[in-house]
Amino acid sequence: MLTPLRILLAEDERTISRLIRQVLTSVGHTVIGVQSAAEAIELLRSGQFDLVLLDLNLADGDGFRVVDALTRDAAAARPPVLVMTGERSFADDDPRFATVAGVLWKPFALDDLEAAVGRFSA
Amino acid sequence: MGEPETEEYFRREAMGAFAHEVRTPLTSIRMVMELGRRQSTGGQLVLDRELSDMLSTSVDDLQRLADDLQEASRLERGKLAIGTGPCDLAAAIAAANDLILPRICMECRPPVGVEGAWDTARLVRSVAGFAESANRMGDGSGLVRVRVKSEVPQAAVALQFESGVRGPDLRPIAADAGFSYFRSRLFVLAMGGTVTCLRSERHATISVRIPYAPRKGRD
Repeated sequence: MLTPLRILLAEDERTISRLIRQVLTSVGHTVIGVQSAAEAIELLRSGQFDLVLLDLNLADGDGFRVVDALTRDAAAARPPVLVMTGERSFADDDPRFATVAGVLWKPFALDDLEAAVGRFSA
Repeated sequence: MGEPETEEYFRREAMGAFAHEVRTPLTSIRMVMELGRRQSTGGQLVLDRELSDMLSTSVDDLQRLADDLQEASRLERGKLAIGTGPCDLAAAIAAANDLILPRICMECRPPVGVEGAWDTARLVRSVAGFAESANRMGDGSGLVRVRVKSEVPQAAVALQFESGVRGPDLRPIAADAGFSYFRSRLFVLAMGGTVTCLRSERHATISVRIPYAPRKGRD
C-alpha cells in the first residue's frame, strides 16, 4: 500500500510537467507544480513536502540553486530531492549529485518515474 | 576562465547543447506514448486530443532542432550561402521579438532608419537566439535588455544582449548557453561579424557586431 505523498514538482517544460502531474496524481499523490527555482525555494520555505522532483535546467537557472538554498536555510524542512536531467556528463564532475536522493535521466519511462517516487511512499 | 574558446571548443559545446535539448521533446514523446498505451482499450493505442497536441508540439520541437543542426553544419562546411538583401534593423528586431514572445521580451530602442544588406531571415533568428540564450544564462526573468548602436564610421552595427547583474566570477561560454547561442553565432560569423560573451553567475552579456553597408541611393 502506497502512502500518498505531497510532492513539489519544479519543471518548466509544460508538457513534461503536465504528464508527471497526471501520472502521480492518478496513484494518489498530491503534486504542486512550479516553473522556476525561485518559486520552488519560496514554496519549500512556506510549505511541507514529502518529496521534491527537480529539473536541473529551469528557466531562472540551475536547479541545484534549490538544493543549495535548502542546505543553507536552517529553518527550512529538507525533503528528499529527486533531480531530473538529460545531461549525464554533468554528474561526472559535479559533487552536488551526491547530495540528492536520486536522479531520473531524461528521457525516462513512466515506470522509472513511478519506481523512483515509490521508494519514498512505500 | 578555463579552456580557451577555440572553434573546436565551440563545436563540442554546441553538440553538448544539442544533445541536451533533444532530450526534452524526447521525454515528452516517450511519456505521451506510454500514457497513451496505458489508456488503450483492447490493445489499441488511444491518444486523446490533449495528448495528441502535446505529441505534435514535441515532434515540431525535434524537427526544428534537427533543421537548425543541419543548417549550422552546412553553413560551417560552406555548403550554404548567406543571402543579402535590404533589411531594416528595427523591423528585424521587432520580428525577432515576435518569435520569442511571450516567453522572452526584449527591452530595446533600436535606431530608426538603419537599413543594410543583410540576410533578413537569419538576422531575425540570430537576434531571437541571442536573446533566448542571454535569458537562459542570465537571470531567467524573461526580460532581456538589448542595446543597439550603429557605428557608421566603422561600418558596423553593435548589438548587446544582457540579462542579470554581473557578478565577480567570470565563467566561460558552455553548452548551457543553449543551442540557439551556437547557431546564432555561426550565422553572425557567416555574415562577417563577431560574437563575444561575458558571463558570470546568473548574468550574461552577449556582444554582437555585424558589418553594415548602408544602402546607397536612399533619401
